[in-house]
Amino acid sequence: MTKKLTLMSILTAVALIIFIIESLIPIPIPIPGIKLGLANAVTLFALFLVSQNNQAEQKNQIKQTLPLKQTKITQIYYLSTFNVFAILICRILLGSLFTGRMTAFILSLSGGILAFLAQVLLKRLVTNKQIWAVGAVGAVFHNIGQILAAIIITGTPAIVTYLPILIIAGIITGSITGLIAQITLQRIKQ
Amino acid sequence: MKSNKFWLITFGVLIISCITVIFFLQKTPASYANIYHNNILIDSVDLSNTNEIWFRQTVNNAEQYNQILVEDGRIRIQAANCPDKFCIHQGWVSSGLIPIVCLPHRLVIQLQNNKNNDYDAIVG
Repeated sequence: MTKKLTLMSILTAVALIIFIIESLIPIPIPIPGIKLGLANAVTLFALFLVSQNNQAEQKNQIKQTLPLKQTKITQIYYLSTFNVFAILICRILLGSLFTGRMTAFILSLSGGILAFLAQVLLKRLVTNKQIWAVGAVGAVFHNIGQILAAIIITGTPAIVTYLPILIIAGIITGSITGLIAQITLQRIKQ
Repeated sequence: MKSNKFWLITFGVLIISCITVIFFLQKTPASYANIYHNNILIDSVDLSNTNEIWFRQTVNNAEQYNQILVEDGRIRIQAANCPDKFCIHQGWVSSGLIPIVCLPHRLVIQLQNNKNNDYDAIVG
């Protein structure tokens, strides 16, 4: 139990640090909402830490090896969807508090939750080799969620014209983020 | 959904369709800029005049301002004290494709072809 809590705290801290440092990097493109969503790499990593293909195996292995004290690392670190969601919410909350922009909080929250839903749904249909695609889809949905929130806040539907550019940028940055998570998971499982 | 090729094709199609959408939307001409605050029209500016507009309001004892510059067919926000400064970074806008938005100040500048003479409110 405490091992899971430690793991979650570490992942939240890493995501938070990535988020804060990333907010200090100026992007030369003048479109609001363009950002490298690097913190999403942590979310993807946590989400795919135990993929669906391994889940049944690992639960059996945990039951079998409970009487023994020695277990492999990958067998203990299992994060449920709710755990990953908690990490996401904490990162968004603390991130917008520390960066000092509460206006960004609502946008980040709506984008993050929508992206999280999309990634969770996609996780069940995808093997471990396609995490980059899940990341790209997540980034696209993040941008969609942010634009929806911006439209609701300002009441001008014209903001939706940003969507095509943001979708392209989302696919590119999301693929990079997902690739990072995918490679990290591959290295860890060795 | 289990092959990389499937996702490459999907994203490629999506990117191509977005690029075509962008190309089609570039052809919106604009000669007037309508400035909205909280979705209420406060000013309608002719883009061919060189002009400087200040938008000020006091919210929660903090003064917010945006300095809007109109010049020879294009418009931009020159200075503002919003925390993001996204509106300033957007730079010059001359087509009706994308509005200039200052989200913390609830300011939207939309370029259109028709001059809106029915102001909902005028902010001094």
